[in-house]
Amino acid sequence: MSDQPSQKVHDEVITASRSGDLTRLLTLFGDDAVVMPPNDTTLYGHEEIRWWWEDYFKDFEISSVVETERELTVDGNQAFERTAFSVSIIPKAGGPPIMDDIRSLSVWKQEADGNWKISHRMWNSTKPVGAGTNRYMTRMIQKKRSRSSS
Amino acid sequence: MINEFVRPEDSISEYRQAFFKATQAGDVKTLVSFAADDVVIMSPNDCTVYGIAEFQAWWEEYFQYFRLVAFNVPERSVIIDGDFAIEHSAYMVAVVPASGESRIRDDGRIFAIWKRQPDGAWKIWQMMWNSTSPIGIGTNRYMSRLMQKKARPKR
Repeated sequence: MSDQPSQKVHDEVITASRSGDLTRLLTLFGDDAVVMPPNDTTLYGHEEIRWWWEDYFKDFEISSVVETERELTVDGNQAFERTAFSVSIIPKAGGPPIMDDIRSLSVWKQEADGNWKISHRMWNSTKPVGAGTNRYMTRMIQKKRSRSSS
Repeated sequence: MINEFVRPEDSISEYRQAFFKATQAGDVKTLVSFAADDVVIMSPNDCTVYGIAEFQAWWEEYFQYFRLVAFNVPERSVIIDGDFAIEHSAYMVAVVPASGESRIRDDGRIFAIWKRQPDGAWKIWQMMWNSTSPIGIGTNRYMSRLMQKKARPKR
């Protein structure tokens, strides 16, 4: 097994996010992982992470992810990863793509079987409020529309 | 006012408390003393801050526009493994704009990696935070800063 979370594993997170492959995505997180998305509550463990992504993929498709920075520091069975990437998101209900520039800070832990899994992850946007992060606004508007049409 | 739980077994706690006390006091010199030389700070809706000089500049600019008047920590978790400590905490903050506008409330989280230094002291090595509030509520302190900058007379 690798002595660090490889670029391949890291790429799998991006690939699974883009394809909406929730099953694959979840295998990359530890059972008791803590995920902190912006403007949202903290997610504790697989079940809550699954719910969050299921909800996310109902409204959005990630069409493009271009990584601009990745810094990895390994210390024994833990690794600290800082990344930056530009992302393009398509609202499933229509409308123009949403462009955002994001950073993430993650902790990876090597499990007993040698596999590396994410134990903690937070991200935020470098764009001004109301620019990239408006995917949340988009979701709120979409929800409002679907409620009023039903 | 700074309220947070103190756990005697948590060796990060005293550093963290002193850090946020300095934040409330606007004491940049003390804040800088708690950061590692290669510190990286990622505040939301802002560019990444690399190294101690940028860290100092960021806080100096922040205190030109804001004063932190209340900081509560309703939840906190620390995992210490070797020379690194992984800390995530929730916060409730009140910030007053220097321009005298009404105070801004926010609820968010801080995710910090502390690194033990050769002398045994803990310093902030990587830090990120974000708001749990919907856009346009807590995060409007950035909007407030933009508006304050806009309102200032041009030199």
